[in-house]
Amino acid sequence: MSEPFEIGGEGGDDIRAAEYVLGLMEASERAAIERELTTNTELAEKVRYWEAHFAAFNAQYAEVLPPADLLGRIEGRLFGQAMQSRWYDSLLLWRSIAGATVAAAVFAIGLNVLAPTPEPTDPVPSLVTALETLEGDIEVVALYDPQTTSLRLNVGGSPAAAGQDYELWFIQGESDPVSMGTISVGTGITLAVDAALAANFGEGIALAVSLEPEGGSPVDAPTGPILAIGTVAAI
Amino acid sequence: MAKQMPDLEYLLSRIALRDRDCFRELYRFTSAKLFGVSLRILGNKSEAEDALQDIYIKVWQRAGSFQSGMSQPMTWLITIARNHCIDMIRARKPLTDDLDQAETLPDKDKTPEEAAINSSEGARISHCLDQLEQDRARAVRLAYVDGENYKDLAQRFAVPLNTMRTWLRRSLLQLRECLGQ
Repeated sequence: MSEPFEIGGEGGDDIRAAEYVLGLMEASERAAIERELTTNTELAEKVRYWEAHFAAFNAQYAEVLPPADLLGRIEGRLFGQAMQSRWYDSLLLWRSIAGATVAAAVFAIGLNVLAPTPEPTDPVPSLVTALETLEGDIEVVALYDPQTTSLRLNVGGSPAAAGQDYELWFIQGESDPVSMGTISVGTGITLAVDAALAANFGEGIALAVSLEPEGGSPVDAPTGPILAIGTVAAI
Repeated sequence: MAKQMPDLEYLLSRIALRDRDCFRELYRFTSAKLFGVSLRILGNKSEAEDALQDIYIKVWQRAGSFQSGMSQPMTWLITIARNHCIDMIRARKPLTDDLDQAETLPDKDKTPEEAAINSSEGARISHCLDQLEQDRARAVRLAYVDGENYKDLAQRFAVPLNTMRTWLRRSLLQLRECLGQ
């Protein structure tokens, strides 16, 4: 070795730690010291010592806002899928193809399955939708009673797999979906709709079901695919 | 901006428990600083964007290893960012291996920033750097802030590589002595 300045002996590890923290080492030396750091606690202590002192230089780094979509890209890589875009894509796709088929389904399925007992003089019409299945084995029909602000659901098909849940979403226009909670397969399920949503529950809003981790989406938006979606109509 | 910095230690402890909301919150309050670090060291916007993604993925993975007694959360985050970016530039193919033919690099160093040092440890290192010859103190700063290695610094100061190595190692020993325990 023709090192001009020996770094062995006393102070050698101090210098190596400082060189590592400053970033002076080449790739192979960095890899070597990083391996060593996992077992050599004395060296790790020296590295922390220099990190704490040189941290004073951190003030020299200016703050620069990264591009707005970067967080979404990070979450997409971390959590398996582009969280926002997946449901939004399903929503856009559905909006582009939805139409007469959904309306027809409401009458064909909605009336038969739910068999509501509307009073002929009821001044406030009930709202109904048969959700169109986009993916998976799930069939959902929903009937909303504005007087009791409750939603009755028939959920057919297969239960969600272990570790997963179906989650129901309220979607108004271009606004972000609002969770109405997780749902399971069954008939005659009654959900109380909270006041904020009940105030906006009307013709044209959409209900959607997404596939989520057990317990529901960990964030304020669907994270999994939209399995079924439908627009609500008066009946 | 009048945004209140949240308790980063708390956020890291929540992220260790896989709390995605806290991860977003941490990103919201720290990403501009870490992006600044990446841009400064890599000197390239698209590389810095890629680096920032990798850095936050490491933060998500390593949040459980953050120990509050050992370091400040912001220092810990910047250390992850710096190490990642330095690894990236060390992995780059050198543009030229011939030091004699290399042109002197443009001076990225911004002198007004050098005064921007706070904290008690900062004051101490600032005092100790003042004891060094000016060029050598500057080389230490350039290594840390811009991620320059011995070769870059030798080019910048137009001295042989071994001379730069000797300079800096002596300077580091002097610093160590001045800083004490």
